[in-house]
Amino acid sequence: MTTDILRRNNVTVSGAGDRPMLFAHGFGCDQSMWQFVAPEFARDHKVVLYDLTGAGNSDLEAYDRQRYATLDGHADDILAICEALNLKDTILVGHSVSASSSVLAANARPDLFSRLILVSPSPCFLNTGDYRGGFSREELDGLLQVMDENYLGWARQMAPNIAGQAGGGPAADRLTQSFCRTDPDIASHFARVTFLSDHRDDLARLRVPALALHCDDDPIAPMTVAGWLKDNMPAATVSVMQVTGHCPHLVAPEETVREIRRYLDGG
Amino acid sequence: MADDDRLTGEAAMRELALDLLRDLPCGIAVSDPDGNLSYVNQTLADWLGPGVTDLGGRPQLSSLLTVPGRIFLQTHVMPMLRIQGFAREIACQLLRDGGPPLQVLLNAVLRKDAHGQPVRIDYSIFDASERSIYESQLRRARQEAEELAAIVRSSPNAILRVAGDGSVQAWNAGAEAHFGVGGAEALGRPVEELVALPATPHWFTTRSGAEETAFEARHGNGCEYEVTIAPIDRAAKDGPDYSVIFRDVTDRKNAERHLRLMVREMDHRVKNTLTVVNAIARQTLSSEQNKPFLERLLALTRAHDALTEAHWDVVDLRLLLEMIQAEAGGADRFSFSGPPVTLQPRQMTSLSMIFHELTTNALKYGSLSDGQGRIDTRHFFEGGDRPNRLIFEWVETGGPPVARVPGKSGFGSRMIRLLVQSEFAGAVETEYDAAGLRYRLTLNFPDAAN
Repeated sequence: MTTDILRRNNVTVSGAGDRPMLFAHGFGCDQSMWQFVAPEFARDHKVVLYDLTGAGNSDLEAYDRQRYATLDGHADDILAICEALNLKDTILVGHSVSASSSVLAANARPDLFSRLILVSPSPCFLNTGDYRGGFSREELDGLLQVMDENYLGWARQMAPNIAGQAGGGPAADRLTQSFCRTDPDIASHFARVTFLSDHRDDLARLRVPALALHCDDDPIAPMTVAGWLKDNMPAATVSVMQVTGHCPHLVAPEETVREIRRYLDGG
Repeated sequence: MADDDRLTGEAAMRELALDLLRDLPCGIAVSDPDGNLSYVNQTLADWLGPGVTDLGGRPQLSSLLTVPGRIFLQTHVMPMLRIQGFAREIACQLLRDGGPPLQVLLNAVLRKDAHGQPVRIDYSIFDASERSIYESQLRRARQEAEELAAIVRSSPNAILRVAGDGSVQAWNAGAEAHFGVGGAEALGRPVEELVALPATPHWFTTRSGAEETAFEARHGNGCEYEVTIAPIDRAAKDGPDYSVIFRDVTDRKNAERHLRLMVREMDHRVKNTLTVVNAIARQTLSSEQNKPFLERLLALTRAHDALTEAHWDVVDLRLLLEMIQAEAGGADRFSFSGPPVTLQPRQMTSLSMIFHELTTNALKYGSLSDGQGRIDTRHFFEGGDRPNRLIFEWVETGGPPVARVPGKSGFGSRMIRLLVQSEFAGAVETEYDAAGLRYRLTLNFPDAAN
């Protein structure tokens, strides 16, 4: 079972430190999303990376639509990895939708985690009532329909196109193929779970101390979401960075690392 | 002099490059690493429309896309650019000023400076509207094909595709179950060998042709099949393939056999019973009394024989009228006209009794009682949109003068009225015209599909 889950989720462990730092990537990518950030922590942490079930180099056969019909399935995976590696006092880092999964895991087993780092979290993408998640129901339905039609043809279409790209050596090929590998049906299912779930109550209930990193110009998680976090997450320190996009760990890795370090050192 | 030439050349090249860039048939855009646009070429500006070309506010690339594209840009494209430096052929939709979104394929390359720091992103954008139409047609066709394939796969019937030379091209799970040969094993083998029909060993060779054909046959496995052979794509160059469908009709055939047996048995019993009744009447009644009775019994027996011949299925009124015609002495004495009328066995029996009474009466007292007269009948439907009321008129002429017998109603008339009422919820009108008797029967056919 232990080796099973490590293989299933393509878990990689590195770093010189003892204190575990577990990174969970978000929708649409794999663990290579952390490549500009994780090495910075490897010198004094035990860095654990993995691919969400259904993404990257995980075992796609293991993607059970019932188990992963809610983020609880992904939260259980986080707990199972902690158990398999006997991780304690862990700093759990989750990006975007995995920030919500991280909160679910920490609410279930607060004893396993010392800190949570939530990168561009969004408990709910949908505008509902007074809450501004950023998207109307019609817009999200449009997205899901496009994915159902497999129009963007992500996944399968990407990989073959690497051939002939200048500067794409063997290393880049390996990276790209892993990075882009997603079964379109799984991507569509995960998109539904990601964009239609509402975990505001779970985030509000969090007791493990957390840092929420927010970009001030994020087309996916607008500033209204950061405002909601400030007002409703007593456990969280909300830090807004002047960064464009939804992936500060990719576009502004130094600043992201600095913010996380400052929080960890201060706490 | 040489410097001037070079400068002129560079300036010309520069101008040429700008012209090409402006007029390329694809959209070209440049943004900073965050996606804030600093340049769009004329083609892209034309696609976007006048409201978007003013770059004063430095719009973000994502603001030019519909929501799905915007989300994918953030969750996939931007990460790809950072990690691998490029993204290729991302299908998304451009918002257009005053028009429906334009389906495009987006390519992007992240440019870095000498220190490896990202400095800008270059985009090339291709109009994919035609490709997207083609793709959606393809998707629909694939979906239809998959549905059809699922139907064939899950059908309990054996469904095959057979080439003109008799070799199996496709073999569904139903065929596997019926004939005990797996799909992979069956492919390419002669169908007459895989499906042996002992009575007609060359069933495919002899029956496949330009037209669809169907027949029933017993298989070596004991089952009986209804076999349909139909050409697929008659226009094919080297002759059509055929769809061959085997439907297991063993149960139906058994039921039919059983039914035939039952009908035959019932016929025997009815005939025996009628014979016994005949014998009892002869022994019980005086010959004067039993004559009309035996005649009526004979009419019933004839009706029964006709039904037996028709396997107790429906018969047409015409059959009955032809029987009367024969009895009356041919077409000179008895004529009829009217549309086809389908009679159920019970209606047939009742009508045959009614006609027997009318004919007997005509032979005894009416227009057929001497050599002169005749009977003309006609029938027709009436009553609204779905006419289901049959009017049957019986007109006797040329016979002896009709003597009206008021107040007296014989057994025959009573039986006619009873049968018309009980079997057809109808009525009988009798007219004692001096020229001859006239009857008008009103018969209801509630389920008439006539």
